[in-house]
Amino acid sequence: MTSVAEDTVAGGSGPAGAPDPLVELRGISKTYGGAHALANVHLKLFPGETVGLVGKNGAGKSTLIKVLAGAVTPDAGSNLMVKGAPVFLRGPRDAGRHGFAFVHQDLSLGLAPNLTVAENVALGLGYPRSMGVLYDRRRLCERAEEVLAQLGVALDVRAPVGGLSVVQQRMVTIGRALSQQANLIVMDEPTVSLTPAEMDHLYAVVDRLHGNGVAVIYVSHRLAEVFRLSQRLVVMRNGTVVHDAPADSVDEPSLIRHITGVVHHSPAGHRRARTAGAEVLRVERLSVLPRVADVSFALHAGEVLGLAGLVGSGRSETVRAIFGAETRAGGRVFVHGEEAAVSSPRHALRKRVVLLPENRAHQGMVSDFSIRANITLPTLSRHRSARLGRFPVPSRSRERDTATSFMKRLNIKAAGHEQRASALSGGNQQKVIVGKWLHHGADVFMFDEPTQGIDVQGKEEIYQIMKELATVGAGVIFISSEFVELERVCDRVLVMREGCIVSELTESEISEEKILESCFTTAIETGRGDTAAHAV
Amino acid sequence: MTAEATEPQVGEQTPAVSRVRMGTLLAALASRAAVLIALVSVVIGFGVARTSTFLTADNFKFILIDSAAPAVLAVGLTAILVMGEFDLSIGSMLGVGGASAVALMSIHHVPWPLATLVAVAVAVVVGLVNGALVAYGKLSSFITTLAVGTMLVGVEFLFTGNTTIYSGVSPAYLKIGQAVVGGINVQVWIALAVGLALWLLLERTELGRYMYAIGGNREASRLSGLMVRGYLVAGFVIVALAAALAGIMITAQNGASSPQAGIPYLLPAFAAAFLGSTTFRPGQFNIPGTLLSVFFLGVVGSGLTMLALSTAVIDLVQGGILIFAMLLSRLGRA
Repeated sequence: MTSVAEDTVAGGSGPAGAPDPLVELRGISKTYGGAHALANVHLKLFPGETVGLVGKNGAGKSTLIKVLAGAVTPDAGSNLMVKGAPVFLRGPRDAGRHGFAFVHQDLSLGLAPNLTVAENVALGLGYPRSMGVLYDRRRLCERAEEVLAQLGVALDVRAPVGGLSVVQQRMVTIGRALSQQANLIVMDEPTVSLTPAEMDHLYAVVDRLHGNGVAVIYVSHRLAEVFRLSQRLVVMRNGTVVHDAPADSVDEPSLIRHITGVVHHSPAGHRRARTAGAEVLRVERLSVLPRVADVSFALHAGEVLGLAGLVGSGRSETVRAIFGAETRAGGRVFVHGEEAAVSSPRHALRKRVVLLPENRAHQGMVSDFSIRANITLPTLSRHRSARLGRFPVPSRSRERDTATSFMKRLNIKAAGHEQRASALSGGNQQKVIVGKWLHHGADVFMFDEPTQGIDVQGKEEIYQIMKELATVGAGVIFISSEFVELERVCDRVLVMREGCIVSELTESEISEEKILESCFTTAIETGRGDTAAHAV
Repeated sequence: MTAEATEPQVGEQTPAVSRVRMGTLLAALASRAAVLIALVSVVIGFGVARTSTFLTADNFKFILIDSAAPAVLAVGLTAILVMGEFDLSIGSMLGVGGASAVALMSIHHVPWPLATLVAVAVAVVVGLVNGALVAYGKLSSFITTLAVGTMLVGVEFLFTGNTTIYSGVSPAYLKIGQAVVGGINVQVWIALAVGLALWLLLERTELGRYMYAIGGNREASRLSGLMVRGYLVAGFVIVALAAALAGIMITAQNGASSPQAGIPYLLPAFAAAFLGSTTFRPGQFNIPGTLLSVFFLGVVGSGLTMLALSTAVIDLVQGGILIFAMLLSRLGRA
């Protein structure tokens, strides 16, 4: 589809009239397997300019950042120019050498919590020395104080970083970027889990960087702050830049349209209306620290309920808390109208509530186990050998029967039931986990991103399973970041943002566009929920 | 789309693959039977060097008897390693197990069945303490069991006053280590019985499956509704019991208890279990592998002693052979 990658190689240095770009991306592409994570991305970054980078999950923002960080090598034909000269980044050190610095969303990347502020600011830059080998603590602290003063940040540079608040830790990361003489700073969702006051502080620092002639790429799902901080807005979708224009030339509704793209409306009849039955699950004022605040909803038999939201909106924490895998800070869970303690997954299973967790490899299966042993893990005691009566001795042949029947029913492709789960494709692994819960049986099935990293056919099969479960009277919760699939499968969709349910869409209202709109709508209308979510 | 594209390629490769496959087959064999291959090699080596003394039935009987208590200890340890935890208190537990039984009989004139029972009870308590601290206190098993092991040295001191006790041991108790059944020392039978019991437990019961699952992926096990913490405690009790039994066997064989007798058994038990995890089921701790490895280490120790080498050389060679066996098992894997 994108055979354009080569034709930009010939271009020389920039046009004479415009200011020279600091960094220029020319036809950057990145393919994983057959899928384009980035397809022919062109982007120029100028000194002293803050660029807001927006797009939905999987639009290619992260991959683009990784390319700049030297963590991902782009495909052949891609060109990265720094100050007019082509550059090849072999790793993070190269990126640092060219003056690129990164403020990651995950603070554990990049900061050493046991070291002091001053030591962290100077980390990797070489400490000032005295007498050849000993490092000069006094000069080290002076340097750090100087840098932080530039940012307008007052911090005890002798305090260990581990004891600082999230925003202070981000400031330390930015301070380090400054002391590296960074001329491009990339910030990935820097305001996630900050309080409003802390956000203001961070905004002031970004403004200051802009004043100091540093180029900033500011990645955020919060459009209001992107508008407030950026001079230019870049929207990515499906691995390409679909919009690149000055910030004042676009308004929020049209920006959302760029983010979502053209939505091809599937006919309403696509979703077969199922008659929702009795309530099977009710959640009242559920809170999970630090993310989920005051979530209430009900789930009915025969219903597929979508839970939408951006990464970090608290969807996973919500279902994990219902399953007893996460500690509730407050709220009550009712199964079939009766309050359930669900203090552990074991309790939840007894109440016939199951969760298919988000991370297959880490939470869903035992990779070293065979397909058979994975499917029978929660139901092993139902496979006792008839000969030995009541002894807890599993019968291989009974296990085999279970495994083969579910492999057949779910169309699991494998060499046999003794094949290790780790040797299966992602889709087949997921089906093994589904099989495990189908065999266990439940009235409430919660699927957390079940189709992530699965091929198209596998996805269809998972949709089918969810619909069938609802048809036979179970309640199904479906979490997905691909809102198109929610549109296709769900009878009702709840949208979460920053730990709260912000809207409920039913039947004909359910569309990718509508869901995205709710995800991005600025925080102004629902100010109450936002502050509640952050008050820790 | 991608699936269709890759399938024909696999088909085209088949003729070239067959030669490669022979190599990987041999490598796979080496990786599955590493300890077995190493055992056969050292038996041949020592057999050639010391035919008249090494290759005798008596020598192999001695090796089996000497390996019995270490085998019980290593097999018990395997049960906790399977779950991805450590127990460094087993050396001291072995010491306390033997010393408490002997001291009660000798100093306090407690009848031998009761003395033995007390040793077993101490083991259960130690296992529960270790298990509770690790499973419920969420402490690192490495440090916790090191600390508990240190405390056990103190407990042993309380029983024995740090003296060697060689009188007043009941003759019936001595039989645990010295009786001969079917032409072979009873200790060998005990070791085989314990090995068989733990093999059945790990391979054939629900508990064993759950233990392997916990070792494979603790979070997935918890999310599958397993009582992870309960099984952890059970594992620590099993390993403490095995250590106490090994201590009883050793003191019964010697007819005496000497201070801190357990410490030298600690590291060989770990060596055997880890070596065993390279064989039969590479990458997973397993009872047959552990048992074979204990025997292998016994053969190496016996053979090196017969070569009349200096202690320094014996230590060097013993360590070297261990590393060699581990490397051999890596051949088949990436």
